[in-house]
Amino acid sequence: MKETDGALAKAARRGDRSAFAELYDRRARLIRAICFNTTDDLHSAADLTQEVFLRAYSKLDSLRDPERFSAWLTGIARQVCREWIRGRLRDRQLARPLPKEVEPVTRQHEASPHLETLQKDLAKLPERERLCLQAFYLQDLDAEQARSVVGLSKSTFYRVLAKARERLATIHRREEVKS
Amino acid sequence: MTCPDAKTWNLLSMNLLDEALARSLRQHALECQRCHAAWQEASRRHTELLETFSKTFDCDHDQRRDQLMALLPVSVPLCKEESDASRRWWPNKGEIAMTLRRHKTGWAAAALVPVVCCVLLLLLLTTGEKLAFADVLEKIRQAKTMTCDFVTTVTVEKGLLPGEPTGEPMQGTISMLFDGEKYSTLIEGEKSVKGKATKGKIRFLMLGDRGYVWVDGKVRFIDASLSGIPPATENWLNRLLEVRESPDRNLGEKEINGRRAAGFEIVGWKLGLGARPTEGNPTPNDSDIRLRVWVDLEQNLPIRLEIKQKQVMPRQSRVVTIDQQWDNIKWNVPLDPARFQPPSQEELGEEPTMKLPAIDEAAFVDGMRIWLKLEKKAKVQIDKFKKKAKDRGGELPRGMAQVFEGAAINGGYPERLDASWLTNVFSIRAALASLEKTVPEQKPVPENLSKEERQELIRSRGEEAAKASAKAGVKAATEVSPKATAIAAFYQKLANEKREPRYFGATVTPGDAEAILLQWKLDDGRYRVIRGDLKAETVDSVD
Repeated sequence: MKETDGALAKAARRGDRSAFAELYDRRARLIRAICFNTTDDLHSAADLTQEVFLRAYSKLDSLRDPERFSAWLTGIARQVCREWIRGRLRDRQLARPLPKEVEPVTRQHEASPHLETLQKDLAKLPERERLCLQAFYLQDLDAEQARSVVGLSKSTFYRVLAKARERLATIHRREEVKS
Repeated sequence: MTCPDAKTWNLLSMNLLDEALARSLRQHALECQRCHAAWQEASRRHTELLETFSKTFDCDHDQRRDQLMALLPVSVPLCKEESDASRRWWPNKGEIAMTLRRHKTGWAAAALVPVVCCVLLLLLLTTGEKLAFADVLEKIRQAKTMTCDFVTTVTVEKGLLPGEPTGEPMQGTISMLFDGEKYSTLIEGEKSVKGKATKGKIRFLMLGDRGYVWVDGKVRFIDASLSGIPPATENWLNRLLEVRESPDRNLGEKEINGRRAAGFEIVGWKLGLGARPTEGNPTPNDSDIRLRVWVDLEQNLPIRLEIKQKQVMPRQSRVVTIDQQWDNIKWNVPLDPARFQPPSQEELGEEPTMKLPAIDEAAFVDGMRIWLKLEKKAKVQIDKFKKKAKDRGGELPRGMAQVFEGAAINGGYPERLDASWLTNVFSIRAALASLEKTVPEQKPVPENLSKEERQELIRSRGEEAAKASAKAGVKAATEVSPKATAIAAFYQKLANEKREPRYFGATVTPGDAEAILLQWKLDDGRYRVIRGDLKAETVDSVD
């Protein structure tokens, strides 16, 4: 039986690094997606995700309700993204390399043309709809978890999710007609 | 059925609809070609999205996880209540990374050098701490004898019963002989009652799995059934020796009884004999424990142990704090073996031996059955009282409501397996269940009595009923306590034997033949599982 995020977060707080690794396995993809919404670049999104988890680890003691780990982590991700935007604006630079100790290991994502098209379509969705889709599809299709991450009521979340799917299909059809 | 819109098919493909609605939609799709195509399209799109998301954001996930784990600070993140006292003052890697990213490369390089030095220094210090503590444990293992003074204070912080003593220290001496396999422990205590010490009144001798208690110089109780549960004193040393990993905190150095000592602190599950918390058993063995060990820097052996244990009864109805301090600990001093002799047969006389059930799988299952049975009976009684209160238009008296809370009625298995919690809940449930037999039918009061006589009759009947209920309640609670102990002790035994026990407690529905309630590893690498229907089997894997 799978342990809950709360149990893992508590274990991590007691020093169980494998529990934190498990949390990373579960939530890193969603955090990458959230960062990707800001950076529009997978490399930077992956780097920011590392920062998000490092920051989360050092702040585990301030997590009041371990069961809300995902939502709390998403909050940190948003903060890190805001800092990233501020840094980018200040430096007038689109992307900055990370220091040597966190050298990225990511290879360029090799997606099929079909998937690339879908990615482009996803980018055209309003942020809220995209976030709902990301939360749902990257949280093991667990609607309750996803809902708590985006902070919507159950009915609103379902409505936004259905709307997002519909809009995505429309965008896809329009693009097909164009091409 | 009218044809549903695209949103509905999208929700169906994402499995977000009620099963009844989903079934009717699927049925409709089989009959309507257009809807079938819409459903197929939605399902295809769902699969594509799933694939896209997982592939897009995988980003060499495993490598990145390994990289992250290597970057995590070596120290354990501190728990909230301790964070103020010793907050980490150095920045973590994430903060450093963020700072460096905001500045020019030169700054980054310049900042990196001291950071790397700090990290190396910390690594070095932490490694040293682990070695020192491991050395202490090894020296304890090699010790042949130990003596110390002890003071134990039990304070009832919440839920104090009328006339119950609280905050009164018990003090005395502990002596231990170790033959390489087991301890023989002698505790000679004196209890200070409201400042008046009554010396030498209590003597407790544990010889392996046999226990003897002398009160006023006479053997009053023989306990020959503690094979699964070491006595508290020995337990603490055993628990300490089980801490294979480094202590949670280094407390620094201080002067104790004229000697220089270094302190280590261990908290939580590590003291539960290595049983990690699991989903259904968040506090497997009194996780709210803190042990501080002060080690003589010359001998590398403990000279003081401070144990603080908080026991929170169900729903916070009762909170008890136990403070123990072992002071002036001396190791390898000569002890008179005659003091560790068991009482003679004449001295023992005809005193009864209290028998606990065996600490095994059958006892665990039996205990769980009784848990469920008692819950049903207790719930009936609780509902009766609630109904009575409601009929009278009032609420349950506060004390009564607290007792009912303590019965932890949850419609399932125990949420935790620590002995004190379980014993308490079992006792409350048993006492409530016993009301079924003891509460007498209300007889009508004769009408020819005067008002005073009627009141007197009602009062005496009430007193009689209360006495009978209390007596039966105590009897029932005493009878079921061993069942609770057996459940906790079995889990403890598995943990002690390093069988990786996992208990899923309140998350399992009683009767569920699929869900695992308790699992543990067998010698041949397979697993033994007890399922929600309390049937046990051996399986190859539990994934």
